Amino acid sequence: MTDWLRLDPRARWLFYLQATARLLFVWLPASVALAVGVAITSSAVAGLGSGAALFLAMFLMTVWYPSLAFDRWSYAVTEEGVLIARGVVTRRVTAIPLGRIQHVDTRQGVLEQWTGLARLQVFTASGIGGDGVIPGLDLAIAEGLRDQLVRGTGGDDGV
Amino acid sequence: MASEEGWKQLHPASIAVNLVPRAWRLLRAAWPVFLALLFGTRNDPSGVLDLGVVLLFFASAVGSTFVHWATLRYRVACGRLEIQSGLLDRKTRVIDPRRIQNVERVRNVFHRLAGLSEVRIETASGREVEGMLSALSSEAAEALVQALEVARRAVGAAEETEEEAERDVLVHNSPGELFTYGATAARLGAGAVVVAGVMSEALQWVAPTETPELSSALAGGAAVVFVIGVISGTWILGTATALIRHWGFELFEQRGGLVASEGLLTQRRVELPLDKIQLVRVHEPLLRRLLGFGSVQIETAAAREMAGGTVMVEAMAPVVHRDAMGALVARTVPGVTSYILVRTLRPPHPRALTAGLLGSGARVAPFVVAAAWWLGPWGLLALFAFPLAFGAAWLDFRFQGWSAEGPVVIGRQGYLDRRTAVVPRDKIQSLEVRQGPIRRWLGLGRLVVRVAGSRVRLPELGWEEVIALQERLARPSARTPTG
Repeated sequence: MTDWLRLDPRARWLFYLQATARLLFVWLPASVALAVGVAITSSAVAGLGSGAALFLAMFLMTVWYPSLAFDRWSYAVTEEGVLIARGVVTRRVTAIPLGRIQHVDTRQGVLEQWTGLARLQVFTASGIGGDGVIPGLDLAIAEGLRDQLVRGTGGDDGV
Repeated sequence: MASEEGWKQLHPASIAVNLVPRAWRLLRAAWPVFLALLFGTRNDPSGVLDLGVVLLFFASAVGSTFVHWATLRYRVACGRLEIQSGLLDRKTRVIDPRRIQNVERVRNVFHRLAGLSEVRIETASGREVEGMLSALSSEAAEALVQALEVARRAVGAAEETEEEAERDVLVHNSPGELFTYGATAARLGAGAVVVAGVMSEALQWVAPTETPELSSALAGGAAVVFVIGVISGTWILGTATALIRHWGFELFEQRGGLVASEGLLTQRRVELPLDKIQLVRVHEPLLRRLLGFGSVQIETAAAREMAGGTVMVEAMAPVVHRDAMGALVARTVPGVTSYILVRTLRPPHPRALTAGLLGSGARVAPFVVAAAWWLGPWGLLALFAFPLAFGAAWLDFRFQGWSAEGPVVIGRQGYLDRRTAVVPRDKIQSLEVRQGPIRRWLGLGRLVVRVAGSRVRLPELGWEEVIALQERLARPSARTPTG
């Protein structure tokens, strides 16, 4: 029976902060650009409408998505490897055998540093740049997990 | 063989051989400048500025080619390959021969004129060629390859006997077979793109007053002739390209590895150690199946960045007759028998048909809507695409299959464009189960098996079954079966 673990409770707020940052710094300028573009090529009303519609859709996504993403994210470390389950629209369950792990990173962006959380990235030789990612872990837990996973590697890497 | 000590250098003719490719790379990197030179506003009627830019470009190309030749050194010493390069940014790269995925020898027209070879040595570490020796004499190239092989085996060169160096030819393609291969490649898409592009350009250049005349000319049958001409031209070009690229293709086993050689203008020779093979794909489009052959592609973990994206390094046998396919796969994947491709595969979940029909309907719908929008009532003829797509989805479902018994995982998909992938279990890197909204509604999931540098999707299975399969394949004992 696999013992699934949840992310740190602070991760829910981290997801909200990240989504809000995306809303303000990506989607707001994109909505303004869309509004201006449509206004120039069509009419001011159409421009305002399309820009507002895009921003509203992204605002609703910002309110709705982070909490669901937090609920769907879980992980398990067994004697054989790491299991990571996540996904709101498309559900994904990734299994990474311990012997195949090439290296493990812990990373902290600005918001993660601020909330005291970290992101764990597990790399194999599959060449996709990070087979498994577990965000929203307490820094100490992430570092402990990283050391545990790296200790478990070795032997034939299948390459 | 290459000396175990003492640095070696590229052949002096490499300056001439590398000049054109390096100049081309530079040209590609600086294309906006040259575009501006060609089409920009002329503020300098004398052309001195333009000449200066061209001279600067030429001097850079010559300079970088010379520096490359003058600074690059290599040797096989202490059982490893060492390559030094660079003038301002000195770099020494050390490659353990056991980590080499494949060694490729390429001879383009310039190499052949100068009697040289380019040697590309790749590991699984990144998306570039880790060891690029762009111009060696053929003897030096052969010596290097042998030295690496000896170092890899950690035995003396003296132990290598003539018997070991003998070739065991697995596949040899005649020009007739390669012609059939090229002629059966589907290129309607490329032809359609060319036709659409030319028509679009023509309409832009034609004066608005002449458009009615052009329309009447097109309606008079010229358009049909034009389309047939372009598609025929694309077909002839594609066939010729296949002949030139794969000319004299031969796949043979030598010194415990596979060697593929091919090419009329650019000769290519790829050496693949058997234990580095990650995946074997068998490609059998309908037309080629009817003619009794398919293609077999053998992939290692090495992948490299080329213009336009990442390409896998592999050996691809263009024409393998159906009765020889199983034997070839058995020679490339240890532990399997020549009956591997005729074994009965397990079917997908019955509800996968519903998912397939919904998916094909969703893919066709935008095309039908667009046709109705642009062509009016005539566009409704596009509705016939639905039964065609549903028929193709049913056939695809009917002939899908998978197996995870024995030392390999097998996945087969497609009826019109059938592809079978054979993955040695001990090469699996990670496994991912995916379930989108439609699959969740139907209780299905799809397992994606990742190996180094590539991946294989198995057919859709029930959720519990796919999770159990993932768990089984992730276990170390399951990845190294004895069967």
